[in-house]
Amino acid sequence: MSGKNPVLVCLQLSGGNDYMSTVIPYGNPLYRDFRKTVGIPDDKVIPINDTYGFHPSMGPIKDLYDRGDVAIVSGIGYPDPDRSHFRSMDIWHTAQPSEISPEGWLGRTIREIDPDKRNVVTGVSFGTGLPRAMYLQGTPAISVSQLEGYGLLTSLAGEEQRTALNACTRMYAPVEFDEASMIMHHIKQTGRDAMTGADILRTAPPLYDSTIEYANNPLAQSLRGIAQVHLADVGTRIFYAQIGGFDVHGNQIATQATLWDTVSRAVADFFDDLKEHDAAEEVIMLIFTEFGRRVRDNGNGTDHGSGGGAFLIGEQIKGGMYADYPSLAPEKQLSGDLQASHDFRSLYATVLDQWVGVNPDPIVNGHFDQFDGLLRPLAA
Amino acid sequence: MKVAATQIPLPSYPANRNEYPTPFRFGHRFETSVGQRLASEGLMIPIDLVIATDGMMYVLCRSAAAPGIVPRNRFVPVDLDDEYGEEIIPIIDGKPQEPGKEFLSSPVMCAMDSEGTLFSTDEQANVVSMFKTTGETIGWWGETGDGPGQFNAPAGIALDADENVWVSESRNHRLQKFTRDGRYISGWGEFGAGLGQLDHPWGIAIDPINGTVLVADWRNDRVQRFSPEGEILQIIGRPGSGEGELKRPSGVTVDKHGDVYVADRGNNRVLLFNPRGMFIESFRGDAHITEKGYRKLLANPDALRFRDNVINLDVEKRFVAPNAVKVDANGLVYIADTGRYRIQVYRNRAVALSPDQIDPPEMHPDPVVY
Amino acid sequence: MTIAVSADVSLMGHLMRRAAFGAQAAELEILAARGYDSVVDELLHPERIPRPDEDLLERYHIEHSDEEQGKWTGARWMFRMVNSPRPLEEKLALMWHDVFAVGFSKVVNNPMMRSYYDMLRDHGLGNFGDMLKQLSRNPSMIYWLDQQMNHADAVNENYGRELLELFSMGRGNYTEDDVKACARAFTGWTESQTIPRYPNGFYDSKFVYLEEDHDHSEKTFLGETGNFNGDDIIDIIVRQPATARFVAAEIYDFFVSDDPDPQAIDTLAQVYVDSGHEIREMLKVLLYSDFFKEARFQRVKSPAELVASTLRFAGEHRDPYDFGLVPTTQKTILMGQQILNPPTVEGWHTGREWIDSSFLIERVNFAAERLGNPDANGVSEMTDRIAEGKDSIAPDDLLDACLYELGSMELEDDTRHILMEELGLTGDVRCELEADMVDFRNLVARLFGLIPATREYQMA
Repeated sequence: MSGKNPVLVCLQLSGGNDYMSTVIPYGNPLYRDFRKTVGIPDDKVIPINDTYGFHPSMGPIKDLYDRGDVAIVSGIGYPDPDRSHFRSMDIWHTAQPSEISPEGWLGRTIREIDPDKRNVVTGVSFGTGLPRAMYLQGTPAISVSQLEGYGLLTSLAGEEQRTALNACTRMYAPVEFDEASMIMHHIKQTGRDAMTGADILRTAPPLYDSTIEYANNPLAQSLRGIAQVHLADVGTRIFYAQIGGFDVHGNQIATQATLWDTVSRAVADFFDDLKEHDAAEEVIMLIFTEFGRRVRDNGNGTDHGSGGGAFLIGEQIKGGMYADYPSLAPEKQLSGDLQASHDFRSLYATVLDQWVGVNPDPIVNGHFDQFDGLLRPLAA
Repeated sequence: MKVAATQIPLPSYPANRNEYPTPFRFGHRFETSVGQRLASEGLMIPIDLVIATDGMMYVLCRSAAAPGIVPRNRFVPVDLDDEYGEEIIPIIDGKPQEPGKEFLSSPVMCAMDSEGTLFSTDEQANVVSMFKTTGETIGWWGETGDGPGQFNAPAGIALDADENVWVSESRNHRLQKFTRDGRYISGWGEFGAGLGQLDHPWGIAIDPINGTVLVADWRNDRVQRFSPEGEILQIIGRPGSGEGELKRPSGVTVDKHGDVYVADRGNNRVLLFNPRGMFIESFRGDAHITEKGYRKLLANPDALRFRDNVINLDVEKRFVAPNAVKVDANGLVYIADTGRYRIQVYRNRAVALSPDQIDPPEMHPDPVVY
Repeated sequence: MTIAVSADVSLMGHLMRRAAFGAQAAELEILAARGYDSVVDELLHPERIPRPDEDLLERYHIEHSDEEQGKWTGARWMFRMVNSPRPLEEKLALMWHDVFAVGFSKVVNNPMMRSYYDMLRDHGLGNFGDMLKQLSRNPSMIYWLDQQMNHADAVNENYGRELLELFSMGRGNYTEDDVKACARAFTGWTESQTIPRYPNGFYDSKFVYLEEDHDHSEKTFLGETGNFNGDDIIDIIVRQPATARFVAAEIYDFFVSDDPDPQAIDTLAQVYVDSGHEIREMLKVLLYSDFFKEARFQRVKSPAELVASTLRFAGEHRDPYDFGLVPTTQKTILMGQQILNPPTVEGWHTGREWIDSSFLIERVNFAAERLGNPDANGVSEMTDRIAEGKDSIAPDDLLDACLYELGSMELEDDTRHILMEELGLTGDVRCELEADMVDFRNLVARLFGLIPATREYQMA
């Protein structure tokens, strides 16, 4: 299929996903030494090869992997790891590890894709509040908690809502530019953008029809919303979804299992949905987390560490394992953590340059080596 | 207008001094501390606890839920070795609570009957709810209002010798007595700072020796003792932070000698009074790092490095906003060290003397009773 | 009501929007009767009214005694914005929070954030030099700008630079050598190592001055030479004309208008100099100035102000018993402002930049939902006042009455016309009998719920 624009879906795993329990180095004896209480038994691991395997809950992702649609990128991190969730997440969001920046990397990407702000729904995030990754002053990006009923004055219904929205449409209608009240003009323009975005997004659910039954959890529903908007063909290029709870200081075995079950099923359903509608080719998904966890468990869970991994999923992805899995050898660890081998901005740059088709350097604050052969650009 | 407790004519209590045993007090020995700040196998905001007959603590935790995460209102079973049992989470209609749809959303205090049923008050739902230690939610009773048998912010809860359930209501400023299945029996109390009046009462306890009822009269900075019929018998403590003084006391309990432990939350300590209301001893906390905490620190080299540079580790031992205190039959005293996510346990070394050991009668006149 | 009184109420509405967090007409009438002088005097002297005990607030939100949850300090602050009898100190804390921006995202220790906020509140109305000295000793600020890594033999310039650039003089008024000298003067200013939060939660940190880690050599700073320590540097900074203009511009921007007026800023800068750097004196002149009194609806409300003033109109969270304070406070996050967690050391981008399409939807929806609820205490009170002593009200008068209740608010003519037309009220609305009141309450709540959708509601 040609003439389609590449679409990027970012899926954020909040709380610091334990990479060693996700892509498990079960063939490495050191894994058993360090993971005495939260280790996954060999017979439960879903093997990828003799050394590595997926977490037992990741069956649906393994299926995608077997189709050749999943790239596992190990050893991704940022320099001088900070074990704060907030700071780490900020670094991933702003692509700026050395100083605190308000500009999101996807916000900048949206600006590159649509510099004239022709389409207010170029970037759409599902969840509560706009993630900093999507935020850039002056660049519209939409944050949707629920697609149904998104927009202004959603607490109203029926006739009351209709008259109220009519009033808004008129109050925010364009008028001649009045220099004396620039701010009022700005509010008017912004209000109009907001209503336009809501009008566009509202068209998506009625058009949607699918045999896929997503699970009734926030992540699955977010991905369903993304599928709806994507299938409505309204020009959204950047999507965002998130799921929290990965901060497994305790009760790791049960928590990790539930979370990856949720993620794996939702992601597989999402791609099945797109495939069913012949709309999977133009979509890739980047799954990331703010940091990995300690190599040694704490008796019931694992604490904040560094050096995790990321996933790229999609038909245009060349599946397989990329970059070396960080060494578990004590002398190769970074203060008890996995040592990252690749800067996360290399991965961003790869996706931006080879998939989205924009110059990555100004977005990721520098020039970073890209991964080769990770994905096939969409045929123009 | 509040009246200082010292201006109130004090009833003389106990009328019959022989009612209580004469304990010889040898002080308390710090025994252990359990718990850590963790959502699982830890205590998130432990606000009260009960001790089951097998020695297991059931710690009531009330913690704010992050968006999208199941509320952390629950009983956490833990033993003196910091080993945890299966958590008891409110289940409504077969489902755990969801954020924003909590039914039992603001638990306050808890009690246990002789069959091992857990009772807890909920100040938002205005109910008393009941759980089995095996995890099942048995049910709940109570409705919102200020009439007899109704609730406005039920807080303290205790069972008397007949296994009737006493409940204090912080916003109706009264105490009520119910059967275990929620049938209203009696009640009394009115708002104020005068003798026998209450201002946002919190924890309550039943004296095991004579069935009198003690209540942490929270906003009056005192503990009041009533007869089961509601007659005011005694005021313990007065506002302040000095010896025997209380600042927003939240919990109270009475041991087998009739000694009264008060969780002096606002002063970050626990006070011990004798049955006559005399101040005996204060506790400020002596905790060591718990077993789970010890393992956690060892797994975190950077945290250990930081600890090495800490000038004063002494504060680590102390209570922060201890919310409740309980005693068991073996003389252990359990303090919910709420602000530090743990329970501190002391052993009371007092012994009750037999009549032939008491000799001669006390030489000094009674000192001033607070 | 005479016209003169109504003008007074309108001015009082303006004063309360700017120097407090907004007030219903009922309160404005009482204040207007007391007189502008008396109200300004009380606002400027919060120390005359004791801070209320917050034991009930803590008692009924006991689940937030969890110190890691920095959101509780923000929620407590929101409660104070809504209820404090000393609103100006909360307002100033909000202003300084944006100037001396420190964020939970890096500090990640609520006791430290609480002491930072306490400092802003305690010193916000005082002497600017004292404020900078407190700021430089605040453990949150020290950690936020890496001051603990500023050693005699290894200078870290982060704090020294921001002190000059963002906290006092502004770029272009000093050299790189001044930055170096400033940083050196603050060597040895550090904080005590807190106990790591594992496994029993958070502990506070204290300011520590390490004599042996201080660079005692001579420094030249802004043309003066001496063996300067941090306080000496601050004493020099506060005497600079650039600092006077900086403080004046910040205060003007926060209290008067998003569009700077150089003349007004000069006036305030002169007060700064004449008063020996007293913020209170600057505010006193400001609140009596024509440029302040005339600047009606010329500032975009920050999310915190929008939420606090809406709660005040709706009568929500007046009561420490009300559950749900934290989620309500967190609504500001969706509008682009997480209290106690500014995006960077530069604080928030304010003014027109508060208005972004996502943020605007959240602002409108939040206020429309709260004010459109006929059962909300405040809405019900305002409705009663509108109906009081009347048999019926003409549609135009009803809209005017609603605007008046909302702190004597004003709408542009176009907005008025649109609202009236879309409401489509054909005749007078009855409000005499008990039976009329059900419909009347719903209608008035509908109007109250529509007003936040106007552009004008975004402005203070």
